[in-house]
Amino acid sequence: MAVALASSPPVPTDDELLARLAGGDRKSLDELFKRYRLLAYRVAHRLLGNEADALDAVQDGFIKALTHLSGFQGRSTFKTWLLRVVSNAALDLGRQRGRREVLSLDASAAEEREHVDLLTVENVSAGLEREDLRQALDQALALLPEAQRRTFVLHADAELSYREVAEVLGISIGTVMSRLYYARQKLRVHLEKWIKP
Amino acid sequence: MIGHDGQDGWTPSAELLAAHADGELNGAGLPAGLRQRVESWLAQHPEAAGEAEAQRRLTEWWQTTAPGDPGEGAWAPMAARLRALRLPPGKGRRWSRLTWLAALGGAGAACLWLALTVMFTQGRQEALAPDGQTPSGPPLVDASPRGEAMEAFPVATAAEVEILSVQGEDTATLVVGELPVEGSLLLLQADELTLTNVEPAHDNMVPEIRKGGSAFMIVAPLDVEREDPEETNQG
Repeated sequence: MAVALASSPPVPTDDELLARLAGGDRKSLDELFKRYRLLAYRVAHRLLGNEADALDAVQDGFIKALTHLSGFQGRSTFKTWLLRVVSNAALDLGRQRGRREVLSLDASAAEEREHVDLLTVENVSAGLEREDLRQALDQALALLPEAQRRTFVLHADAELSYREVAEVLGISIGTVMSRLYYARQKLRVHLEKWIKP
Repeated sequence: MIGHDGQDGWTPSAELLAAHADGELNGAGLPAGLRQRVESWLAQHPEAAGEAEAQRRLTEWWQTTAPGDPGEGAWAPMAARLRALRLPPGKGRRWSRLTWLAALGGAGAACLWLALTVMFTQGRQEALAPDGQTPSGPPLVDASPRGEAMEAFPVATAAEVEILSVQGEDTATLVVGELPVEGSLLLLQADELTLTNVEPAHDNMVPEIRKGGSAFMIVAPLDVEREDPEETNQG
């Protein structure tokens, strides 16, 4: 029996989307935004510690990246270039505003969204534990020097390879290795009670 | 970083073992054969793998705690703002005939405006120099019919001016005065101000110049020649 398979259109590469955007195709902008918004958000959230500031940093980063596309030379990938811009925006914002306490708008918003789910005793307990964990993660990250924190977040949260992290930060792979090693050593000590053996 | 020669030969560093556990020793930018060398060493020292494995597990665990998607409600307004951005034209973008016509029209209008401005300025300068001497440059502030400089006008108040930062490329000129500026911002003609001496202020960066006891803001070039005290004493 012959089976006809519907072929889905090929997913355009970043370079193709950028070329279309340069030609005035605004749909490409939406596509690039959807492709990288969550990754950018995770990086910004880890660096800033709350949802509201993270969203501001993502927006700043995308605006800077899109209005300075002429500065993108294509020597790195769009993804690494964007994450560089977004992480710079996040760190700038963090310096301006200071890292907010973890129990902030972010926590309240999350609690509101999860309010219905938290009605049972078990879920209240789980919610508190999750909040404790969030605080522990934030405090542990705050212990790291900025360079180690940024290196670790780009590797662990943006899932960039060592080579890509080196590209984003303009450092050698050896330096990435070293920063990651010491960052994880410190995190392991601080988060020992949370990490299951 | 990569390793060192111990008594029993080469020993990889802890960072290198962690990179191996992360599967990162195949990439470009690392010495050829490094991964095989580390694996040979680990085969003889299996007890050393535990530390690196713990580092890898930490990354895996960390990823399970990633912040969740804030949801379409957060993304939609951001996407709308991005769509409304006026993006610079891309490289190699073709201009339409209408765009060319608009650009030519704009350039023509700019040329006409420039020509009229030059003619107008020359006429005024001649009127300001009745003795036939050529003025040294256009006046910063208009003059009264009697030839006296009119009082400078305030263009901004302290509440309207906030200096957030000074870029490196702007250090060829200095903003002088208290930050934020107290009182009105005044513009002076060049001949209303005489710089006799410029001393660095307490921060060693911003000279402080006062007139009539109150600080005001001017922009002065940094190439003011300093008076050498020794030379002055000798002279």
